[in-house]
Amino acid sequence: MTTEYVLSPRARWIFAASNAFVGALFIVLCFVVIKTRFWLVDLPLAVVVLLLEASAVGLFARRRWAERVLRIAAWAAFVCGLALSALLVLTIAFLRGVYGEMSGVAMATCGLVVALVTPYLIVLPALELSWLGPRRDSAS
Amino acid sequence: MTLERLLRILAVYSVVLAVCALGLVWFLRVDRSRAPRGPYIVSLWRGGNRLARAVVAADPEHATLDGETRGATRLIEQLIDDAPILAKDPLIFAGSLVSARDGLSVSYRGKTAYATPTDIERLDAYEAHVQFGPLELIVGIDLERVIGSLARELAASPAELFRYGTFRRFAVHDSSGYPRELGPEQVNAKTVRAAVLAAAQYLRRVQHPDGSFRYEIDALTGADTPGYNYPRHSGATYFLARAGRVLIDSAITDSARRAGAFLRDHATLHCGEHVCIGEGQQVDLGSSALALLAYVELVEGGAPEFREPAAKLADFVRSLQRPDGEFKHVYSIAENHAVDVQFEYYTGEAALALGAAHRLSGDARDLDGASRALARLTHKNPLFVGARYFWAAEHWTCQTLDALWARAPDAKALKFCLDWQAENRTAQLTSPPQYDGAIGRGPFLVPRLTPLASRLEAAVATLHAARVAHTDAREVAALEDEIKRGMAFLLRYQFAPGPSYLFPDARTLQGGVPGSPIEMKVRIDYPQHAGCAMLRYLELLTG
Repeated sequence: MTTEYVLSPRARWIFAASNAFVGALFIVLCFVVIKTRFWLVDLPLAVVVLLLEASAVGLFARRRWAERVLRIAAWAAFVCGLALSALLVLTIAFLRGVYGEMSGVAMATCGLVVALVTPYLIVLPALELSWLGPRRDSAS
Repeated sequence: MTLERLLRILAVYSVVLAVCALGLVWFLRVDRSRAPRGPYIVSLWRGGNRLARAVVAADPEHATLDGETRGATRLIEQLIDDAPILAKDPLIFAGSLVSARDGLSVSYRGKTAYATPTDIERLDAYEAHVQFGPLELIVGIDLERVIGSLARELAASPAELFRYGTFRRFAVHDSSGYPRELGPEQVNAKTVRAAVLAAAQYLRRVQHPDGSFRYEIDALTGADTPGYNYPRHSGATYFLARAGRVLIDSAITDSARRAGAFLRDHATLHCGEHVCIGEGQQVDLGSSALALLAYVELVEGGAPEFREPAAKLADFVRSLQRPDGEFKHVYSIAENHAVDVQFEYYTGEAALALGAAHRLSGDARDLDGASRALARLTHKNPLFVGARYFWAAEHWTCQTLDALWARAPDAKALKFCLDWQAENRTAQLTSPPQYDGAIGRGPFLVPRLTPLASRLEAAVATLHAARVAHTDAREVAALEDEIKRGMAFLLRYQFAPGPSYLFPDARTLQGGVPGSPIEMKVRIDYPQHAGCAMLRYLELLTG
């Protein structure tokens, strides 16, 4: 049995490094810097971080399961990113609806958070999913 | 997944999200600009008690109220617009009312009850602390109090009402006259003078025979908050002494003298070879610095008995200064030495106090100490980018700038104070109209009066120095506009007489300055800071 990789060695290294970096970034920011623990946020974040780091390890080590985990990690991050963005946009709408002209600073803060997470939780996973292409059997 | 499919997902997501967001804004929006159209909520208030209420569709002036009593205030609040509450989750519910502006209605079993903004204000239920997971946030109203009050009106249990009631928030137009309708164009010598006089008379009224003050009064209960603070006593004394001198009012000057005597006789301690002000085994620089400032004002107002105490305090303040201009902010009486720690405000207070002391003593060491402290506070490295974005409370600093300008002008300090005021202008609110000129604190918190008042003390001082220094006319004009808008906000919310129908003892509170539009407490430093800012501006207005 041979292993057929969708990703070129170069793409594999780039995605491995990117996922390792993003996973580490979330560990530091969300679990070290922010001391507040709240399971509703921490649990999905921990799952995404684990998947990102697992995919990075697998891609670096050229494991057979690496691209499958990369796809799952990318989907998980992408869905989390969309959910978080939707929550923040609806929060902006709530603030605008209730507080009107007084909501500027809070709306800007929410908008800033959306802008900050978009590259990591939407753009990068979308790029990875697009690069991996449609799902297919990776072993022949 | 193909790129095309991914983009399609993102496009659908964006459209659905945009529609949901716009729908949510439309669903929750209250239009405050429309003409009032709802029912009239007519209430009878006296001494903080609501005696009666009627909800009528028209002719509110003639609505019949049970127990109509002489001396009671008939308050008419008419609904402008209302909107639903998004969800009964406590966090979302509590955050669904705008502090000081929104009321809450509930319909249950065919009846409707209203908690108007006045009711919520009386319940002291705006700005409640809400626990969100492990975080404590201030978002909106105290649900327990407001729903408890509505439940009593409908003879239901709060839990039952919360579960089955239909809640809506609403905006009202009211006839209370508080805040006053007063714009920057009405800030003139006459209105400012009246406000200063009222603030000084408030402090006089709450002064005990021994010269101390009722430290903080809760206007809604008439009760005193326990505790006392010597720096704030000194600040109040300083304001009274200045007000008595500038307004030529002997009763206010007498009050200032009594307050000064209280400091001298009850709070003077020995700190090594010097005398100092405070209590206990450790004293702070601020108490002595502000007492020194007050003593100087008293002497200049015709109370020579404070000259010697002022000279002694100036010695103590100077003894705490380091060679680089900074001060050691604490003196340990128990260990008989100064402690080289720094807190906010004290260096600026000491600089201003030494600058004032120099007017009395003519001692070059006082002026030198004040100048070095001012330089220490204001001469920033131009390469430190953060200095443009992060500012401490510099109200004493910029008053020192002005106080020293004729004797030791410092152009760098003037630039620093002008830059700080430019930063303050960016935080000044322009809407809603009643908050115009205030410093914003975000949507959940209403603006406070005293942080603005202290900034205005600095702004007025900076304005004077800038005029003398022939600063660019546009910058001076912007500064004056900032001051007028800020002063208008203070005047709007000063108790003149304020919502007196909510107060058990409205007469005492006349002229007081509350903590914020919803914090109906008057601490002695609130009228002091507002009064000092207005007094200095009055001096500029009247030349």
